[in-house]
Amino acid sequence: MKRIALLGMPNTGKSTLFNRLSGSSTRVGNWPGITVDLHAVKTLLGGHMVELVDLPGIYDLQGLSEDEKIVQSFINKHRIDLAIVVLCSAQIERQLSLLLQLQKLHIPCVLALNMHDEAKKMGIAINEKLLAKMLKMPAVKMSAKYGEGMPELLKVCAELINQKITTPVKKIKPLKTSDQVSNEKTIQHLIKASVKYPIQLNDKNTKKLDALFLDPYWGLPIFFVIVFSIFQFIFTLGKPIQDLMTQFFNYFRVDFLEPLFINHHGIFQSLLLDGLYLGVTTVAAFVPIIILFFLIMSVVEDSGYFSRAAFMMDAFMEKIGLDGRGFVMMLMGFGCNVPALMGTKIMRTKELRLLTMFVIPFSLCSARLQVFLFIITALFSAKYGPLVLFCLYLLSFFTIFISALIFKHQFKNKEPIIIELPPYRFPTMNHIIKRSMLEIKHFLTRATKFIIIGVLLVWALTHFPADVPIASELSYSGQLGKWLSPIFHPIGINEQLVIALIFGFIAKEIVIGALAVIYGVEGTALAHHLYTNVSQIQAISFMIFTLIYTPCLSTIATLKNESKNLSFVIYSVSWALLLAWVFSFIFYQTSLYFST
Amino acid sequence: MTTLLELSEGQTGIIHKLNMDRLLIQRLSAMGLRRGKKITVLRKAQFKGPFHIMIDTTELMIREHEASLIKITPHPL
Repeated sequence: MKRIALLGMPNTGKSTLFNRLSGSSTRVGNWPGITVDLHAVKTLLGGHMVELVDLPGIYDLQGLSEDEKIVQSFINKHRIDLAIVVLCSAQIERQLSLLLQLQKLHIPCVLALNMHDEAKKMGIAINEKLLAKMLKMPAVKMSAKYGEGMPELLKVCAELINQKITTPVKKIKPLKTSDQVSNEKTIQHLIKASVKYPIQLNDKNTKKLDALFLDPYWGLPIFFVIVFSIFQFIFTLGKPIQDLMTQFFNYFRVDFLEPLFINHHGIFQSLLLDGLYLGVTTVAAFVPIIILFFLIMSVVEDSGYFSRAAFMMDAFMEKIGLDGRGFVMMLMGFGCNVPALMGTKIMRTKELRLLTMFVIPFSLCSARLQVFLFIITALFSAKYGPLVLFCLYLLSFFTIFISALIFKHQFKNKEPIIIELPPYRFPTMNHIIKRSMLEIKHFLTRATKFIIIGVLLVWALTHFPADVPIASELSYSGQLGKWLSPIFHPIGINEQLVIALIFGFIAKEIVIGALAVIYGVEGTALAHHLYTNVSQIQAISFMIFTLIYTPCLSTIATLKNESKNLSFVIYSVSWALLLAWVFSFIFYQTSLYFST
Repeated sequence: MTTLLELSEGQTGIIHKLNMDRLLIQRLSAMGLRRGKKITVLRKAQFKGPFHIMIDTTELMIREHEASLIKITPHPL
């Protein structure tokens, strides 16, 4: 039986490819002279049964590490009819050396350019046909993770395995320095001919820019100016678009949907308009912000600046169990939590990513800011209003740090934080747009269902029983508010405000609208109503709770998508609720104590 | 023999040993940190922050803890 070996450097997706090729029928093989277990499987390829072996990931055929020794003795003791050499396309320059060493042994090779989606994301274009011609072996662009390029890989493997081997395979010999030098030259030649990198600043300019951006005194001020400009850009552009969309959705509802369903039963009409339609528009409202965010984020990442920012903030973040990249994401969270959570993808270590996702929802996002601005202008003078808002921002930072500090041992990062500082690059427009579209697709496909279910649930709570006024004390939400009052009474939040919090669970943008429905007045009348019915201490307690308890349904949906772990989501939301209550309690009770 | 931690900005050394477990060594090797490689400290971040280092043409940031695990010998000038 012919034997195919999978070879490649670690973290190239070799095992993922093996799992794809083998299905579920893996067995652990026992090989004479090999001290560890290797995964192997028998499978049908090109009309014959072949044996497929997954060898450990190694950097070098020469090395002395345990894995390298295993591969060396395997090659020397067991026949390999075909080697599938897997490499990570984005790092092709660093990974070709292993392939050249294998080729020198006359082992027939197929080059699997894995993770080609990632290379494409980075703007790296590989001409695999030219590369194959120069290397005199087939080369296939593929993605083991997403299953792309698999049929082609199987086809070339089947062709090669059926060929007669003419040259016998050599044993591994120590590499001479001259061989190494010639290998390096070959790699450079290959790369220059067949790989196109995005336009890159030369070394001298990168060094100059680093001297500026990483300056011990100017680095941080420049960083904050850049972040501030990004915020300005996203919101000066995003806000009008969002407003336009809201207006459009409103017109669409009033002028088209409402007349359309006018003859339908009240509850059915309400389900469609206040339930389903509201859910769809809630999702849609995030689209412009997410697109803009990732447009900017791609520029920041692709240009190489992102890792420089991480470098500067890392010392501080290390103390609370996070890293410099987490700080950038946290700041982005002050715009909108959803894309900030999606942006944590760049972190490869699981615990670190989870802890970062755990604290991002405490960032005071622009939606919460809208609620606070309304309440603050309604209840506080122009003199104290800004101070209250400033304190809320401080509290937001404080909850982030306290939560990270408390949970840093639970989500203890076990891997080294080593981040590449790539040369500065000019981002390509094509890539930036593709990236944003991809992210928006992810968000829409995964979050829509979750958000709509949540909206429908709140709709049911506020619209039933059918014969009572919407969101009134008699509705289920009102009853829930009453039932929860022993919990909310000690923090000064009355039953009506509890109903608003239930709405706020969907999105903070609708809290003010909900208050209008609950109190039956709108705009300035609502502001006046709040002024006469809610004390300043109660209002602040309400805002503290609103800040911390949960950002919105979309954030929770994103937490679920990105962590793929429901218990993590429950854990995170429970912590937020607990913390919100404790902080409101401390504030409300001490304020009451001092004001009487 | 010293560790990477003791190099000051602008100094170069040769990696002699990675004093850590196999998994960590693998992660570092993937980024080009291997025995015998020339390593230069370009700068250190403030407040005991990470090091900005260069190996071949790759530039990385690495924290003090990991730097203390990398044994180096002085680079022969």
